[in-house]
Amino acid sequence: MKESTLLDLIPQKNDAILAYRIFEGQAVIVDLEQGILNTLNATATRIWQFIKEDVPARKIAEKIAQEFEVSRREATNDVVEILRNMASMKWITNFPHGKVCADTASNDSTEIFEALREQATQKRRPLVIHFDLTYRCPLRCVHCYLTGGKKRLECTLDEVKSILDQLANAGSLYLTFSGGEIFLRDDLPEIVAHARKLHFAVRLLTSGVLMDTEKIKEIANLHPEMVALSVYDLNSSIHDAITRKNGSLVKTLDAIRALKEKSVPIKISSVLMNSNIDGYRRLYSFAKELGAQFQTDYRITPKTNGSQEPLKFHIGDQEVMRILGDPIFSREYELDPAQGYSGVFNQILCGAGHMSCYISPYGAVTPCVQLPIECGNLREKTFSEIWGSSPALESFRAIRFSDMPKCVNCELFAYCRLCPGLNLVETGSIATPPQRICKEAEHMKTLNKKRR
Amino acid sequence: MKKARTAETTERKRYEKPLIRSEKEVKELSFNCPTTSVKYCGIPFSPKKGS
Repeated sequence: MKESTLLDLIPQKNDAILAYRIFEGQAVIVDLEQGILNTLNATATRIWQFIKEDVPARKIAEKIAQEFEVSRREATNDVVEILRNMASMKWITNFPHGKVCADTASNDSTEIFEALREQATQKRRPLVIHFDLTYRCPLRCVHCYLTGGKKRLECTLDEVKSILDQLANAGSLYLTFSGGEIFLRDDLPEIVAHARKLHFAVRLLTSGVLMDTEKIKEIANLHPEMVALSVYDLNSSIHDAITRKNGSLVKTLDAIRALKEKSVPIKISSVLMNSNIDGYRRLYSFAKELGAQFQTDYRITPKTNGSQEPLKFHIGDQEVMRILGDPIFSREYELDPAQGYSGVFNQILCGAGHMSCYISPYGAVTPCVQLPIECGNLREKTFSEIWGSSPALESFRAIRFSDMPKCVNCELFAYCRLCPGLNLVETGSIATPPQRICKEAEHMKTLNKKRR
Repeated sequence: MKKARTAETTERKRYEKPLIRSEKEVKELSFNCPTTSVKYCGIPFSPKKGS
């Protein structure tokens, strides 16, 4: 194609497969088909912004030459090259492909995300949001932390849409919808569609038991970043005993297969308890064969009303050791304990309230699903009011590791994976971890020593 | 004679060739933030002692 013809083309963003934000002057783009996180430098970010204005490539090059210290010729060449590159990656349409030449980090690198996370925390941007759309659920999982409680009015579709608009304006990018069972809301596809229209990277947490062909098709067309489904065991008598719903495993597996057929990225999440601890390897193989991610979680949490009842399902010490040392999982214990996090994550307890937060089905904002510290309600205040000036949030944000002298001076501290939320709901104090977390750190230390 | 810079003249920014940096989203089997399943919640592992 002649250059003059090429420059007349008006590239179009392929919004269907992308989630993005302009974050502190740089575009952050999640390629939802490839599962790739991208950041653009200042020039590429401006080009990305100009694409949105529906102008021909020639005009984009002109604008770049006006804004930056670069000749028109060089700007034109570079704009054409990067547009071709974006077309190859399917980020834009209506432009011919070129070679893919992104500066790609190695597969196990998390450098870009870590920089983003650090920046979000420093600048107080709510990069990650967990939004529970309902607490209703057809399952009665034995370990569930939710309690029935009083029936309250969930946020309506209009309220949810308004909240999503506010979150997009605040710069949030990663958005998880969970519950309860989100598919109990008939308006879920509309909610996800609105979130995708606002360019969120949407993750859905579900049991899958209410997903039918029509819903799966609708969701697949909206390109969620991930659908995470809870599977406790591949043996239905074990799984269904945990969900306390006969036939639930069959329905969940049907949903998984149907999602797979539609090429939706899947994650199989499994809470490990006494009753299903022996089956996780089979689940792992199942996930692997399926091309799905697999995540386990053996930390059972008390109920939101303070009841410690679910803790009776927690696996014993030996099993924790077995899980932590299983090479199929992240071998975090192999890290040099002297090499901790740097920057702000070396001071704050976690990202909750700094770069992420939780929203309940009733509009309450807390730092995390696990931290029942109500900072305001979106039915009474705007998100920016709550995020920017909630006294409760400010107090929580002020907590530092230095406020936990006992932990900081503990010989196991470097191995500890404490969670302030778990501390609060289990011991009543953010600064005091439950004994089992200390025990876990001890296991990590033992494993680390063995490695040496 | 050189024209004086007018108020409308905008400073041009330093130019860098447009660049995209990419990394595969974490696929590793991780225990990070096990209680919430929220991706990238930011729970640190092994913070440096003495901070």
